[in-house]
Amino acid sequence: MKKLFVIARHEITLRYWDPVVLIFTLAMPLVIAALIYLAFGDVVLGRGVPEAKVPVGIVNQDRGSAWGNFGQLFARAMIPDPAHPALPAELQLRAFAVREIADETRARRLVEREKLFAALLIPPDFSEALAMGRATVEVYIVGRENVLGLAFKSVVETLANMISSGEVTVRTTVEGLLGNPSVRAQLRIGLLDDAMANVARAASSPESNPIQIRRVPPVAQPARIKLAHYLAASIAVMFIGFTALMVSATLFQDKTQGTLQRMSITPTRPEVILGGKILGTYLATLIQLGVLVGGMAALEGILGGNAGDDLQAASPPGIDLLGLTVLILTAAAAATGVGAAIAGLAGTYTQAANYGRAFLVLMGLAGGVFFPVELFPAPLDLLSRVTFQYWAVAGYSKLALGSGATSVLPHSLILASMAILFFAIGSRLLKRRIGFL
Amino acid sequence: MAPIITTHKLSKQYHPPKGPLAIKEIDLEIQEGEIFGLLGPNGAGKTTLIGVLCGLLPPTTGDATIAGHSVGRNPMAVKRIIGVVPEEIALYARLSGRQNLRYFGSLYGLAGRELDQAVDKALEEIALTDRAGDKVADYSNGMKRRLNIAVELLHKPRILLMDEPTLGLDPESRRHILDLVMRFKQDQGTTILYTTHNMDEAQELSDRVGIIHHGRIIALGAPGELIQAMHSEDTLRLNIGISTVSPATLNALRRVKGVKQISSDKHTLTFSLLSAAEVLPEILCIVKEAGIGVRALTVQQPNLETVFLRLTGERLTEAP
Repeated sequence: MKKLFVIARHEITLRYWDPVVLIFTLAMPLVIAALIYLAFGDVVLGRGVPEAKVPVGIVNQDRGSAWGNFGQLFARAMIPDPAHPALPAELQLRAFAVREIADETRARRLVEREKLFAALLIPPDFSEALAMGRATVEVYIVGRENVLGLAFKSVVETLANMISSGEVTVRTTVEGLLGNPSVRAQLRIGLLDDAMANVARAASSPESNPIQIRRVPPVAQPARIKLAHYLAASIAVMFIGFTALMVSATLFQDKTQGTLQRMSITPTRPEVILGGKILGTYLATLIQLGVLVGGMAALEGILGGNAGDDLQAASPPGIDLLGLTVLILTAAAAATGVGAAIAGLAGTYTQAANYGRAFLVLMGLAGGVFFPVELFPAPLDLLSRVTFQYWAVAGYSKLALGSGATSVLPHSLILASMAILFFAIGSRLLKRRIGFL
Repeated sequence: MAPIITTHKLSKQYHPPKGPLAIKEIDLEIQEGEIFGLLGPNGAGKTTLIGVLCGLLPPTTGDATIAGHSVGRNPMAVKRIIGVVPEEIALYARLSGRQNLRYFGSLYGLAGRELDQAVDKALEEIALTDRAGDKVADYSNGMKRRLNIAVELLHKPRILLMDEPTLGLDPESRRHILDLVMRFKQDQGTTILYTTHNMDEAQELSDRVGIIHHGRIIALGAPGELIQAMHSEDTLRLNIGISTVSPATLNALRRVKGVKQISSDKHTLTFSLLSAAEVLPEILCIVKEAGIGVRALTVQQPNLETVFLRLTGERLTEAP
C-alpha cells in the first residue's frame, strides 16, 4: 500500500516538475478562461435570440358582454389574419408568432419553461370592464432580463395606447361591433348607446387608458448560469480529459525508456505499479481541477464584470462546497478511467496521444463542452449522456445555479460508475498490452 | 556448494508458436560469489536470458532458480535478492540523480534514514556525490551508466545481473565501471552475471564465461581453459603492398614448419601459427625474397574472440 502512494507521488512529481506541463495543464486553461470572462463576462445562458419569429401566447378568456367580445377583437389585432387584417399593414406584429392558448395555467407554464417569451392574459370580464371604461390585461413575462418578453409587453402597450388615442380602438372596435350581428341588432334598438359613449369618452381622454397593462411578477425568478461560468467549467473539464491521458504517457514512456521494466524488477506487485500510476494520474487530475476551479473563481472576481443587481445569474463563489467537492472527485475519477481505457485501447504512447486527444475533443463536443447541449438536436442530446464531460458540466451548472449537494448526487453517481467501468476496461487492456505487468 | 543460479532446459520463444526462439534449452549453474561472463554477439539471447532470470519474461519451457527460489513460482522472493542493471539507461532524465535513487530505493522497500544512507553510499560508490542534485539529462553518458548501476546497489543484492553495462562508453568510463564490478565481488561477495560482447571485458572480469550463440550456450568454462581447449594458434597478419600474392609464394609459405593455415585477402596475409615467435623470421624472409613489401605486422595470441571464431566461424563483433 505504501508503494502505491510512492508511485503516485512520483507520478505527480514527474508531471509537475516539467514547466511545459504546468503551462499546458494549468496556465493555459486559466488564460482561456480569462479570455472567456473578458469576452462573455455578463452574457447569460438560457435565452437565445430565435432566428424565426418570437413565440408569444395569448389567452383570451373574455366572456364578452351584451354588446360583443372585445377580447376577441384584441386577439384578432394580435394574431394576424391575412384575409381579414385587424390592423393596418404597418402595424401588424411581424416579429412575433402569436399563438392562442385556451388555458391560462398552461400559458403560464409555457412561459416558465421558456417555450414562450411572454403571454397576454385577457381576463373573463374584459369586455364588461372595458364597457365601464376601465379594463385590465396581464402580460406574463418571466425573467427581468427577458428582453423579447419585454418587447412584447411594449407592443401590447402600444396597441393599448393606440386604442386610447382612438387610432385603433375606434376603428377596430366600431368595425368589430358593426360586424357583429348581435351588436348591430342592439344598436338598432338603442341598447348600446351608453356603452359606446363610455368607450368613446375613455378613448377621447388623454390621461386615462381604457386598457391597463399589468405586468405579472413571476412567482420565482429562475437563476441562469453565466455563459462565462459555463464555458470556464467546460474548459476545466476538457483539460482534465487531456491530463487523464497521462496514464498512457506514464506507462508507455516508462516502458520505452525502460523505467517501467526497472520498476517491475523491484519487489513491487504489478497491480501496485499499475494502480500507483493510475492513482498518480487521478491525483494530478484532481489537483488540476481544483486549481482550475479555484483559479476560475478568482478570475470571476477580477474579470467577471459587474453583472448588476438585475442579473439573477448565480455566482460560483456561493456554490455548495460539498457538492462541488464530490463532483470534482468523481469527475476526475471518470476522466482518469477514460484515460486508462484510451491507453489500453491505443497500445502506444503516440497512438494514445493522437487518437486520445481526438476522441476527447469529440467526447467534449458531444458532452457540451463547446456548446450547451440544449442547443443540440435530439439524437446528439442523448449522445451527450454517455460522456463524462456532460455530467461534470451539467452538475457544475446545477451547483452554480444554487442547487445543493443532493441535486448533483445523480451526476456524481454516474461519474463514479463511469470511472469504475472505464478503469476496469483500461486496466484489463493495459495488463495485456504491457506483458510484464 | 550449491549453485546460486541454476537454469534447467530454459527456453524462451517470443510470440509462440511461430515467433523466434530467443534462448534454447539453456542449462547453467553459477556459483555464489563468482563473476560469470555471458559472452555473445548482439541478438545471441543474452538480454532475454537476463529477462527470464529476473522474472520480466516468463520462460516458454524449463525453469530457473535463484538462491533456491523458482523464478516462475516465487518471483517476489527472487526480486528481493537480485539487482538488475539493464542495458538501456533506465532513469528519469528530468529528475536528479538523487531523486532517481530515492524513488527506486523506495520501491525496494527502503525508507527514512535507511534510504538516505543507502543513497549517500551509492552516490559515493559511483563518485557522483557532487552531482547528485543535477538533472540526469545533464549527465555525461558515463555518469548515467554509473547511476544506472547505483540504483541496483541500494538494497545490497546478493546477485547482480548486469546487461552490457559498459555499452557505448569511452575507455576511461569503461575502466571505472569494470573497477566497480570487481569491487562488488571483492568487498561484498556479490555474485555477478555480466553480459557483454566485448571479449576483453569478459576475459578480464570473469571467473567463468559462457559463450552464447543463436540462443544456445556453446562453450562454458574459465577463460583460460576455453582458450586452451581450443588448441588455438597465434594469428599473424601482414599488411602488404600488393593486392595479390603469387601461388608459388603462397606454397612456399605453407611449407614453413609451424604454419597451419594461410589466407590472402587484398592487402592482408593472415597466418595461423603454432608459435609466431618461432616462425616469424622465416616467413619474413620468404616474403622479402618474393619482392613483397611489408607495411605493418600484427601478432595476436589466442583469446575468447578466437574461441568464438573457432566455434561459430564468425567474428564476435561481426556476428548478427
